[in-house]
Amino acid sequence: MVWNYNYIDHTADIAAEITGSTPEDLVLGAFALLKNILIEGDIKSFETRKIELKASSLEEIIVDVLSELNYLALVKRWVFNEITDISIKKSKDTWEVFLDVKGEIFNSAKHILKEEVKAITYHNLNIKIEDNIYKTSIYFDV
Amino acid sequence: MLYNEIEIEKISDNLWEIPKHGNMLVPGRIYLSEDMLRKNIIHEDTLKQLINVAHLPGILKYSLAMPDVHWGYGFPIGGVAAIDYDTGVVSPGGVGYDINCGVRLAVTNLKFNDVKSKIPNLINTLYANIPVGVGARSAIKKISKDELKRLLSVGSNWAVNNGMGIDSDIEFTEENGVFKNCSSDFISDKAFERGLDQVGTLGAGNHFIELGIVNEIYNESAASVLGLFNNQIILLIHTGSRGFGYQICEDSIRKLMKSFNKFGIKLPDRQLICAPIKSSEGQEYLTSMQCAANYAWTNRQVIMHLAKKSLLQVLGLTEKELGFSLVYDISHNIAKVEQHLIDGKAKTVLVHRKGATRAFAALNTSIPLKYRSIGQPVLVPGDMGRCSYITIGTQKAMDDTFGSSCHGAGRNLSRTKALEQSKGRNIIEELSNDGIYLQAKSHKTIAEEMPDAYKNVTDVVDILEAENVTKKVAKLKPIGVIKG
Repeated sequence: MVWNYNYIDHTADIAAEITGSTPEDLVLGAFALLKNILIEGDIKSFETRKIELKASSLEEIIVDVLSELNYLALVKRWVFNEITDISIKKSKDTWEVFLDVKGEIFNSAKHILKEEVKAITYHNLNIKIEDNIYKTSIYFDV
Repeated sequence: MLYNEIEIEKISDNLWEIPKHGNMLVPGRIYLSEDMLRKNIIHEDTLKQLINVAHLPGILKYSLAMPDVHWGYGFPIGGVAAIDYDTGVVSPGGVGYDINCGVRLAVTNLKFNDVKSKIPNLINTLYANIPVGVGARSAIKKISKDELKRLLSVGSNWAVNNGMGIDSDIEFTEENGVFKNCSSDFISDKAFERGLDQVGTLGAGNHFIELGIVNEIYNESAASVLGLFNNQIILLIHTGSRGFGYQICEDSIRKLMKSFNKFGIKLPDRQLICAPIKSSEGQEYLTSMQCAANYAWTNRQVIMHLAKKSLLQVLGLTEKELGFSLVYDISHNIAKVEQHLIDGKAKTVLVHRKGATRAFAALNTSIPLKYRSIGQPVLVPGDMGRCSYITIGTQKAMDDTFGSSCHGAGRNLSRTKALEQSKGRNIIEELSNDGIYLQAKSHKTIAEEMPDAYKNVTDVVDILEAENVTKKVAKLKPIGVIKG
């Protein structure tokens, strides 16, 4: 598992560059980034939620996964801790992702929702492969 | 001249043009002072975004940026694009996720001395009665999906019909607080779910409630028409359509991603994704966006009602003594069908205003009758430490900016830089020393929203004044602020 993210200075919103050695790692890096933006506190892996999504590109997969996680945190009040299983399949025109996400119900005594992420945007979202490393920037509307 | 390696030409003292080049369909125009340009406060990506917008099919005359412009995603914040309704496109990115984010100004009969000793109590009561912060849930009871559909069909009238406002509130809301012919048929269950318990919530980030005073009047006759007087206690509300609007925008962009290729449109940024206005996809987005706009107007109406109750509770006055009334409610994230003169001919256009405010000139029939002799009020909030402005639209705005103006001060520092620069400072105390009482949900928000994080709104407003796009009526000064 090799992934990383670094914040990019953005005037109004939150942006970061994510890298990963595989498409799965890129999603794991994006997951860690969103968790860092949204949630503070000790999150336990009490419960598993399965996320299965289809899209026409890896970029859309990343936006859709993060949007679903953002929805779980802000609307369902379920805070996520880790991805314990991930697979990404690509067929001719379709990308599919299968995730096992572990987390727990939001508890205001130990969790803080730090940011209201309005959306995960497609701005400058363009995955490139350089020296076998997948790389993209991603912008969050806050 | 070259600015961040982009060729720009001076049109007048405060107006610059990026000539049409590459696949741009029109030139870009940006309202900025030479001083702002010299200080290099405009990020190069802001200008790139202005150029990108000029690629949208059907765009007319110019891709425009107001002086509060800053780097966004897709459109720059402060961007205006008028698109030919018959041949052009609608882009959800030209409205943004917070559909019909906007500002509402209410005034009272009171003067500063009437409330001077009660400012903390007033702010604390407003803070207790109006839900603020991340994922805040409604102070009014959670409504059913059927009730939400009724709300969407009548907009602000829903609040008035439920005792949370009066008829004149409708009269002084842009579009009378409702896009009448919108349809909720295409709205997802997720969006409905998010809308059920957020009516009357402020949210987080740059959303705020501000108690202030009329600090200076520049145009006595216009101020009199708007019911403003010196030292008058006022209330500003800044929020939008909350999770309901965010979800509609997200869903719409996702749907367009699936159908976009069939339109054969090439765009420089995927976030500008669009559909021909007259296509079923374009109409589906527009009608859903209108529902979100109706939600936002209702949200601000309900917050105004909660604010009135709070003021009455603390001050122990009758409604008549308080005289709490709406001056105007205006959107700054919206796409609207309007008629504008293009080469001397009236044309139906879809004006995208992303972080920009409508600023119609006097006599326009879209303006409430009471204000028609002076022009449409434009509400321009500044940062939480300095001031805000009320201006009015002019004929020059109709001629040059499709009747549009700025929407605020515009950010100067990124959130990260604001956090860095706030270290070791007590922003609450600094504001208190300036006579401003602050309540906020988090220290992070206070740091990110500190006055230095924004441009000076006076500079922004003065640019449009100098270019005769808008004219100043009054300056407002904050005395108490709530941040989400």
